Amino acid sequence: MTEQATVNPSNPVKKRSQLKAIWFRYRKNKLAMFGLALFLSLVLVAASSGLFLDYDTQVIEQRMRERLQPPSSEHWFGTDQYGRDVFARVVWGTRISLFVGVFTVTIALTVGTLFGALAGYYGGTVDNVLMRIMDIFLAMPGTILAVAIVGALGPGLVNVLLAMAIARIPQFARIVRSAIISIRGQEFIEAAKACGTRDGRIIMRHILPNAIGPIVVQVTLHMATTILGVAGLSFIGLGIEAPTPEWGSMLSEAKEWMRYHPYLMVFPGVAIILSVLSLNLIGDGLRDALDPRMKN
Amino acid sequence: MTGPRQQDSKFRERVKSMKRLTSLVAALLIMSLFLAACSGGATPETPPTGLEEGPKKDTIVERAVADQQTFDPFGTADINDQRIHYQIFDSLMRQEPDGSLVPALCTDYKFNETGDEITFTIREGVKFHNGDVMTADDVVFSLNTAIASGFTSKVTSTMDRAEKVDDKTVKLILKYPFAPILGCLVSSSCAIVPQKVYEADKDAFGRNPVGAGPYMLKEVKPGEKIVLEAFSDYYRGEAPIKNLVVRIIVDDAAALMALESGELDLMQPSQAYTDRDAIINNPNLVYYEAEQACTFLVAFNNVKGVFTDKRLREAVARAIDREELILGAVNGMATPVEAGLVPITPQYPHGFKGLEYDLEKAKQLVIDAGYPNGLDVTMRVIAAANYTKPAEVLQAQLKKIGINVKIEPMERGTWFDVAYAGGDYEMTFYAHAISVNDADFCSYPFLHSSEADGKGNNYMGIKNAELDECLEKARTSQDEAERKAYYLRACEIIRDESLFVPCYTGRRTMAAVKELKGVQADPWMRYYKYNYSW
Repeated sequence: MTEQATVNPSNPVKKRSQLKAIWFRYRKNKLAMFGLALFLSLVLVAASSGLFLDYDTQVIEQRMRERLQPPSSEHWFGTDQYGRDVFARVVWGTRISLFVGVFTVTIALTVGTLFGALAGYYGGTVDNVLMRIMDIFLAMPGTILAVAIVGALGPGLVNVLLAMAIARIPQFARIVRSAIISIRGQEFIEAAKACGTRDGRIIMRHILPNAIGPIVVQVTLHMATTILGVAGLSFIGLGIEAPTPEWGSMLSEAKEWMRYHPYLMVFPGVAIILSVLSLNLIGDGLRDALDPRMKN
Repeated sequence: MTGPRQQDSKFRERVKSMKRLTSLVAALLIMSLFLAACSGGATPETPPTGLEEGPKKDTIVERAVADQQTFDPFGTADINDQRIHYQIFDSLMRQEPDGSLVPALCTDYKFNETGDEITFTIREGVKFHNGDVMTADDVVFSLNTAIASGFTSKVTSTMDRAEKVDDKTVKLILKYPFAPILGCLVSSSCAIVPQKVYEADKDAFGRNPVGAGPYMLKEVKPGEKIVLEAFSDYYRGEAPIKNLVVRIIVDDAAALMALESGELDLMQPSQAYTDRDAIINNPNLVYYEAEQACTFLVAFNNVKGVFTDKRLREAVARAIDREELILGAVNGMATPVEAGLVPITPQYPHGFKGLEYDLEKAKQLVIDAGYPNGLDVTMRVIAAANYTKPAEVLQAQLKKIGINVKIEPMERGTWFDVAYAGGDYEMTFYAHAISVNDADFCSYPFLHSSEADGKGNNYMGIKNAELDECLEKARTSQDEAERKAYYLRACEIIRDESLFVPCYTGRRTMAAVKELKGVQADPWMRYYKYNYSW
């Protein structure tokens, strides 16, 4: 209980030291640091790809007479069946995948946290109604739900984002709810109530910051599964439409050539693995770093 | 206060299982890559025995790309469905492997002097699968049903009606003399069905067909397989191959692997021709190739939407680089087509030039049409590689002139309902296939105004009076040179009005295990399994 009290963000001095302590513990985890470095470099690639790549002429323009070339100094990752540079497409795909990951998780996190916080804080009927709705969503496997939503709305970037986000809302709602239930009965909350603090402020200022640990870990892990999920949807033709270079759709296009030009499959495949791996490593590291029992 | 702890340990488990899942996926991916790389050069093992249905020597397992929509020969225009109809139904005429036309369910036929009536002598003692003997009434009924059906109009539009002369004789009356009529009667669209069964319940017939062909339908498992078995009372004698299993394998790569592993005996390889070399180099397989009896084309909706504007159609026509299209769409295995007919027809104007490739002019046309900032169009295509791949190339080519194409792949049956029959599309990529080797079959049904508005196959809604006249005259004329001249004129109208943009003709291919005899690649996709043997 005292642990939670020390995390109380209303004391800025302690907050900083707490963050420092987390970073200190995180830094000791080599794999987690590797994951972080990997992820940051992916972010860098995504952010800078717009500077050195022109979408219309380098990413989607077809040069049929240069098709299916193996990797060379000119085309580092070779060219695909339409003569497009695979390197440019994989790099641009980083943008798409990270964007999808971040955006989806942001929506899911916001809505999920809202639902979870309301349910957890107020309990009773509100809790019952909200969580039963979440249970309905949870009852369906995330991918199937996403496929159903995309099937109904039609493929396309926005619809895929929505589908993935909706499929992830209940997970966040549950995590946040359980964290809040464990906190809301504690003395400092009662103290805040006694001071006449409004519910919204109690949730935002006193409860959520104390529940941030599991939420952050969930965010990183869900970004990883979202990237995989979108790649999966695109692979089966329900995701982002051609000619946008999404890793999953690149894999799907490369499938036909797998036997004759396997490199077409290797590079987007490796890109997916790296991004998912980096996020998972970060999530693991964060979980350990945030775990109060691991305190040095 | 044990809450957080418990929750934490649960959470830990969840993270662990997620980790495990991720590493599993990664491992699978890597493994599949290695497998793929390794299997390339290796020759397949001997086919596994005991996996096939029944003894190998009287069964053929082949592949279909999609479920059968119907077994009603008058209820479909889809060549995919008809491949099975050719096994179940026989018609009055039949095409031999050498291409000659011979009487099938008739023993004799005679034209009248003007050439617009044919008298058939019905073959005696032909039995349907249900044991009934075929009568002149069945023949008359079948022909008249075919004539009345909208699906079969490609081959029946010149027929007026069939009449019973006596118990052995049937007269087919044409609207006008039509030279390629015997070829029409080969088509499964003119199949002979038992009147009683068909009339009793047409829909049930579509599920449980009864024909007079060499094979009977035994079992249908949607999404899995269709099983046919030889009809023992077939009038030419029971088929050498007793069982025909048609497995539905949507994915080309999976189908090829099934063929290589011996699970399939026969398949039409991917029309993207990616596997051509692999099949040719496989000592256990034989690759058959023939010209394709169709022309792939970019079709516009001439009735509604942006492409009712001729300038936009012309812009598209001028922006298509056929050579690049062929490379990207079919791996270079096709011949460019510039006239709006199928090149293997005798009337095709060889050397005909389409509109010249001219990006600048195309861009200008788009601007002139009122779209200085370009426009968005949707291209609905059948979700199969032979339509989606060219669509992707076209998407890139049209982007250069400011037409942003959104490709909307649709399941084959849905596309036929929505776009082909329903006319709900802006532009599409499709193939005009012919079932009889005459230019009439790739022009009149698709282009004549009488076939428009859902009445026939004019899915583009083309209504051009001069074109109509050309097609009518070409159809009725008995003089080959004159017909050629009319078709040339028709091609000019198609080009000048940019009614559609002919792109290329591919190759019909077939891959079979080398022990299977009688296989050939057939431009007409009839594939009479009766001619096959081990």
